[in-house]
Amino acid sequence: MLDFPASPALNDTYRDWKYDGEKWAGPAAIPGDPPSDDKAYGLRDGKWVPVIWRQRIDMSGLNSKDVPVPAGAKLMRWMFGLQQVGSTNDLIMFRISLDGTTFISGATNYGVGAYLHGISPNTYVKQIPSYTGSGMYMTWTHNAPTQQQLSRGFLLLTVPNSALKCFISKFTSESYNASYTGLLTIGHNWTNGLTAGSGNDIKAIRIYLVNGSLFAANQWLTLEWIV
Amino acid sequence: MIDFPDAPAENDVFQKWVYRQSVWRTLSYLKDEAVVAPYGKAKRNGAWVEAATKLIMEMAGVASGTKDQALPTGTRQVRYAASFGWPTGAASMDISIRVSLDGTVYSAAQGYQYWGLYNTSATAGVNVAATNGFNFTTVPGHSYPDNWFVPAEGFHICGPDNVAMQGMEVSWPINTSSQYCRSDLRFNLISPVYTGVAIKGLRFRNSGAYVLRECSFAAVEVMG
Repeated sequence: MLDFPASPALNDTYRDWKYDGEKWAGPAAIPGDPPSDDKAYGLRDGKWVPVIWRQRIDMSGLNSKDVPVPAGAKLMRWMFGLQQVGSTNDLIMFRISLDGTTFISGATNYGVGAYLHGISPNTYVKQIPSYTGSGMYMTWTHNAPTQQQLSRGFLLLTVPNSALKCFISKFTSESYNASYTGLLTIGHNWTNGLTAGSGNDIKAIRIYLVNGSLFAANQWLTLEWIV
Repeated sequence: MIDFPDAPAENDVFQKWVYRQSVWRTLSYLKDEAVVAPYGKAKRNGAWVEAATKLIMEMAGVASGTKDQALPTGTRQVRYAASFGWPTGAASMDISIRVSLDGTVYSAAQGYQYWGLYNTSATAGVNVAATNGFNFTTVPGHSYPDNWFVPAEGFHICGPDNVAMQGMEVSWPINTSSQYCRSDLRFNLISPVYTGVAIKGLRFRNSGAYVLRECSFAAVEVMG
């Protein structure tokens, strides 16, 4: 039973209705569902608008995880604190796929440069080791297996023009090792050996522990996709 | 008398109702779908997915005190970007963050530690310390002028099981006496007593004697 007040004043409300001086006006129409196009949408001023999609991925017990890139995404941001099991010090890396299934893994397909911090207390080894490898680093520290490896960074998911044939990522990672006291890295990566021009959008990301360890229980990472 | 359509389809809207799952529901149901969870929601490919929940903690005018922010149930991760306005006349400023596991008690013990880089004008190195909070602004050997702001950002993640809560911070202390503008990266580690549990609250502290200037705030994102 809807029992509207008998003598409303201007702008009085009753449930979802508002009195406009003449009648009880109903709520504004809401939009239908947003498009199903892989983008995430939020409501702003009554309209669906693209928003950043934050994806939480369970890494527990895994060595690697393949993550499809949402259609049209231009940038991926990551943030995590991940712990491995076992006694082998391991590092977290990622590879990219341009078709969604085949991951680039040649020995010289990725280049890495970084500032490396540590060795012993009160030293800061300012290195820029420019070398190539089979994956991009997300962490780059000798990690004590009982500690989390922390990292955050971003990866551009598309090549902007035909002259470029690389993808760029940048990261900051830190982890703790009693022998090293404190380590941190600011690194940037690039991808070699790609065909220039069209088709160089990244379709999938593989995140893995490079030395074969497994992630411990209750481990997850956060990815943010920006269209 | 409300005369609903006889044969509605899923998502049909009539006046203030929407037909969902064989029931005419109020339109506010759509909003409720999104807000019933402790974190923000966005819609993607027809399903609700987790999105960021953002909070703004105003710090302007906070004088030698604290500002607390309760966090949604199950928070395991916080990210923040902050700006702290250096008070006029202040020779030093000490801004830090503490966490609460019950929403009430914020440990003041020396249970917070950090490793990392202090990049001063002449030297750079590792610093290991036990503090009563994760410090943003205390940097040895730095002097600060009036009217400067110290931007800071970072995140903290609850450790699973036997791992302590950890986090990273980046701040940019400014020292105009030597015209340096430097990065200061830290690796924090909270006492193992806090392992494997969610964060119930954040406390930003101004432990100095001066009032933080206008435009001092922290924008906080929380995640489950």
